[in-house]
Amino acid sequence: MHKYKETKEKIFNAYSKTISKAKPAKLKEYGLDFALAGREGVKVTDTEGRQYFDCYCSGGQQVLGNYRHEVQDAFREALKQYDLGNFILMSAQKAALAKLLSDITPGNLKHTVFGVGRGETNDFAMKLARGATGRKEIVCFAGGSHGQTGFALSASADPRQEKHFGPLIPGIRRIAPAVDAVEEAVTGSTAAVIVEPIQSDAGVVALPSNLLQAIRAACSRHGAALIVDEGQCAFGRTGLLFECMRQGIQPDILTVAKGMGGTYYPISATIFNSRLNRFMLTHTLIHLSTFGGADLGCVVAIATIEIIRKNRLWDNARVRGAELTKGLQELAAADPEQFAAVRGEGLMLGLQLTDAAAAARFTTRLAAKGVIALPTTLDPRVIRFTPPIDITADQTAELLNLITAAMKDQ
Amino acid sequence: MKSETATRQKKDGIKSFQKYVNYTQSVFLKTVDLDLLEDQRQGVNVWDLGTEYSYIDCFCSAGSFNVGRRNPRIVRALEKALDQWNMGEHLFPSAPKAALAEKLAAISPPGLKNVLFGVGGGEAIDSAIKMARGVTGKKKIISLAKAYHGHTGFALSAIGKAVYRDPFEPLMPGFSHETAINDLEAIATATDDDTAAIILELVQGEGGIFVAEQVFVEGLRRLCDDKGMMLIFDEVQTGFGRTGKMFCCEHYGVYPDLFVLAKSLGGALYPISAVIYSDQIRTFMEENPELIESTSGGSDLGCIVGCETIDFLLENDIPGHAAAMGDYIGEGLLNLATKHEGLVKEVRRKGLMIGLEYTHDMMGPLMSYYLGKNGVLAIFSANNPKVMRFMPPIVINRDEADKLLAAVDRSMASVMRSSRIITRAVKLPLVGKVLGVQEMQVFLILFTKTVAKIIPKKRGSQAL
Repeated sequence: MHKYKETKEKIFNAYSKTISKAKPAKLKEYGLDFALAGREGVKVTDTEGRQYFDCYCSGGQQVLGNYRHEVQDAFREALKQYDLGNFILMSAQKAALAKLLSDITPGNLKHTVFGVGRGETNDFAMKLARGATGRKEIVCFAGGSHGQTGFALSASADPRQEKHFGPLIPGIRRIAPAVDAVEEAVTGSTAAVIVEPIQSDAGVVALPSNLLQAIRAACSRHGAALIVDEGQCAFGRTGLLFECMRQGIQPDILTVAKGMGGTYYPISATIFNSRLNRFMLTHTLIHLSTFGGADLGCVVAIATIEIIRKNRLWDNARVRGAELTKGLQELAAADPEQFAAVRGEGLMLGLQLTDAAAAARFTTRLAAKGVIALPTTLDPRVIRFTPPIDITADQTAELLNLITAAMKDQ
Repeated sequence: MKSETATRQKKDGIKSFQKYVNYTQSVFLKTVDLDLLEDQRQGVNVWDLGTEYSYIDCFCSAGSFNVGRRNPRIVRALEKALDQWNMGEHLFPSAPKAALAEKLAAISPPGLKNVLFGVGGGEAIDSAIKMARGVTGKKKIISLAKAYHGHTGFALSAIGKAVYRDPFEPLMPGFSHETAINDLEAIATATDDDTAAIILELVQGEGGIFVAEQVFVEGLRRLCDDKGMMLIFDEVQTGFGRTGKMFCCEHYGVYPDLFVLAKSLGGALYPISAVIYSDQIRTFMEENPELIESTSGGSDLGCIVGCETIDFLLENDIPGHAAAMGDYIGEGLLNLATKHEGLVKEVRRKGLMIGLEYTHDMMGPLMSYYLGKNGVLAIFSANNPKVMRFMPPIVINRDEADKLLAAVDRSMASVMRSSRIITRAVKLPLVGKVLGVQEMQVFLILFTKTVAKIIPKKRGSQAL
């Protein structure tokens, strides 16, 4: 669109003047001081025509690359008829997406309240658990990260947040991700336990199976709600449609966000079982979201989920993820002084270096080869790779070649 | 466009909504005859799926549709943008982000030239409160009684109505919301050395359209300056021409340290919000660049929609049009209030942000019901049923306004008639006869099935 074809210099001037100087400066340290101008498949293009292999994907949000045009077509079609819709009214689009979510989510998750971002959906999940149980305590984990809005922030493990923005929500207790800590912390006063099956921002740490089982058991024993935050995992990224299916742990409340809008529309959802819905039936208009579950967003999300299901993209994420993991492991093994570990599931992978400085240096070398992958916020030793889940075998091989070149280029 | 398919679609849609979204909400809407499913939407109008009915939308998702529904210019811009853009990368600069930030800075009041994007209104309020705490190093936040700021953690803590907060307590410490709008003295008393910010809507929207007075707003600015506190305006509902100026604070010539925009920035099509803030706060943001992020906020598509929305409003002087139409509809409503004496207690408004307060709680639901029958979508406040908001798209023209006023006239006549029936019926000892009156049923169903249930009861701890 000709209207938005400014030069890099003009964009950076305006951005620095009105939005931030420090944010682009940080990216410049990595050599990633470009202005985004478009996308093609799994790559992004900058204003100067340079292509980058996108393994950051706005924190895993750009879930589709090669199939993106199909979502685009669905959006274009929806634009002929729909708009945001009135949040207070019933909506056939909301109903259809809620039904679809009920059908594809595990177990007895049935009812949906829509949101627009990840934080909002976790805020509502914690509110719902408090409201339904009449209890106050929420147990969360060190290394957890649930979003930026009030409750989500209070349950996240970034100490800078409490320092600058506290005091935060009382009654939220952070514990170590360990079975004995769970057994001790979850009691008859616990409203909910909120957990990410894979702690993405803390360096892509998959929580062990026995811990997740113990959390489920403790919640059941004490009548607390288990909130599984799949804001970054869901819709195929980890090799399954939902990550909680791997451990067979049944959430009482499941939150989903990134990926759901098919890279075209912000939408998130809190999905819960009928016991929790009792609270919503008696408190109908207690939680509202103007933009959440917009009619257009629902149509786009339905199209996205259908594309993922039709093509079994979780299988692709698992296979490509295994190829990428194998490649990274071989490279890491060749240079143990720099590379400590490769971990993750499907296409949510973390490459751990020996320290944060090494990770920063390697991020810069990747950028020089045209690969965008950034260190995680809570553990800057780990570089996260979350390419689109529809990446092909050839594209994966190409990506590995670029990473190999970055490793050799000392 | 009534067809068998559409009728079936509507039936299935409602059934699914009840089953998978919320059953009570559907009952609540059915009770006031607003159980429509939005089909076609155009300008000020929305059509019900599977029936012939159309409605003038006076709810507009609480003021999100200022530019009108499916404004052709904005739809076209978004359609075209799809060729090149999608949500983008939240960390990386792009032409759409830079363009919208520049545009917002250009139309914002003096001293407010810095932009933080978000995706929803609540989130942006949360950000603004965080920024106020961060920059001052203080903790306390003062909001007003009846204030409404959203449902995310910080915004919810600042809501002035206990009904929204109670089931979810304890919320953020340091928040107080006892002071009524326009009571400057009480606010001054409520502040102390640890007060970070005062947050308010210049026109309380959900609270029932209460307008801040000039002296009050001036006083707040002085108070904040004296005590080193941040003044935050929540312009989520009042922004983008709704009150007859681009931003409501322009009426007062008093400017905050931060103000929050959402709803109509999205052109009735796309979620996007923003916090506009002062240079003092910018210093804090530059020193702490990674503290506040929003993955979906300020997406490339959202920014393109925002730019087109602002251009549309500016090029057609829509805020000026809203001021004129506000006067016209406001006058019309006042005349109707006089005509149907005893029904309306007060008409409160600024521009096209209009609130009617009826004389009795039951009038709100009854008016919603009759307005629906007369082709107007207007919903009483669930927590204060005698108050009804009229916030049509601000592009509404004279003909549409006349149609709206005629529908209000007819609805008021019906309510006056039924309230006479109810007054009489209540005097009868025969309960059966009372229940036989349709209007009474509406009233009773509504109050027993929905409104009463919205008010939470005291509850003890309970396992799931």
